[in-house]
Amino acid sequence: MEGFVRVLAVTVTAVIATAILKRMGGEFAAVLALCCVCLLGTFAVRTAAPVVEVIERLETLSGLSPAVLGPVLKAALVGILTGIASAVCADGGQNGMAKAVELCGTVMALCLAAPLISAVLELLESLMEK
Amino acid sequence: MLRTIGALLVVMGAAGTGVGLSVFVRHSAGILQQLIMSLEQMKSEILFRKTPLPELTARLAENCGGEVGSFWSEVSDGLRIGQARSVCEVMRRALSGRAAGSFPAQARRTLQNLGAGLGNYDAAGQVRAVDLALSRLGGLFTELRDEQKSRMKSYCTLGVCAGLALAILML
Amino acid sequence: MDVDLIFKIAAVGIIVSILNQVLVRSGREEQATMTTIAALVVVLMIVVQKIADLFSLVKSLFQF
Repeated sequence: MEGFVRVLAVTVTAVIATAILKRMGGEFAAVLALCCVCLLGTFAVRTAAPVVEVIERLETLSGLSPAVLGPVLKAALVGILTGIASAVCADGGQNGMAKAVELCGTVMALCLAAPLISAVLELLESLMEK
Repeated sequence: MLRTIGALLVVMGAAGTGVGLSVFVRHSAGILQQLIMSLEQMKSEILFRKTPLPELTARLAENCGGEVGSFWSEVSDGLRIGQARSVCEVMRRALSGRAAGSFPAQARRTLQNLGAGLGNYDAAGQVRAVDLALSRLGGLFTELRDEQKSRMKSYCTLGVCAGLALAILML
Repeated sequence: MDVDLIFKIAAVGIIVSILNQVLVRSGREEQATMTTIAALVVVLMIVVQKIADLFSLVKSLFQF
């Protein structure tokens, strides 16, 4: 809870500082926003470490192979990072770059999901042969 | 604690540099004013008393203080020694000496041109050379005086801000 | 969480903006631009380190 309060304090401080810097010259506002995003992202990832451990334990208990859950986690992460990167680009006024980042994120998630889809297709093929 | 002291020293050092530059600007204006006064005295000495150059420059050295007085004293010594050096050569040596080190570069060039005129022309020509030098130095002084306040403020602000930025980045 | 970094970047940004304005008003636009770019590069170097730390943390946690 204390960590979350710090997150709120950092975010509010960064928003006020960014508003001041935008008035004086927009370059440092963008850098400050990026820095704030990094700090919050680091906090989120560190806090998510126990959650990932629980998911891995569930994976072991359920008997699922790591090849199944791994891509799902990675695709989720790619989605989150893509959203953040796209928002940072939009903040800097570059909507074209934001869309390009989203496209790359989508393609990346599809690439990560491709082995899963292949595995499902192989399973279907084997069932149909039977 | 040590870091805070270090940051304070950095800020003070940078601010001191800014203040030093602004003091230099004020000092340059003072030097130009003294040079103008000494050239006006030189003009009246040449026009009305036809004073020889060694004596004239010695008088200028007595009447002016600081770097300007030392400069004219060096010129006077160079002219008295009697080594058959031209006025231009004596002025050139004096301008590259320590006394003239703090003169603005444009003022040094003007005095060098004056030196070329002083030893070569008759009294009327010398007065015209002094008039030309006076008009150039006068223009330079007016320019410096108009910009002095804003320049001094800029240098002080630049020094303090640069020091603060460095201290914050290093802390 | 390194909260000081936010204050550092904000303070440097404000000071560089003031420096920029002083230089522009003295008629030294090129020096103002160079000062801003130099400060931006320094600040970006600090931020890039944080981005690199974030990505290596993500890599290690999600086994990328």
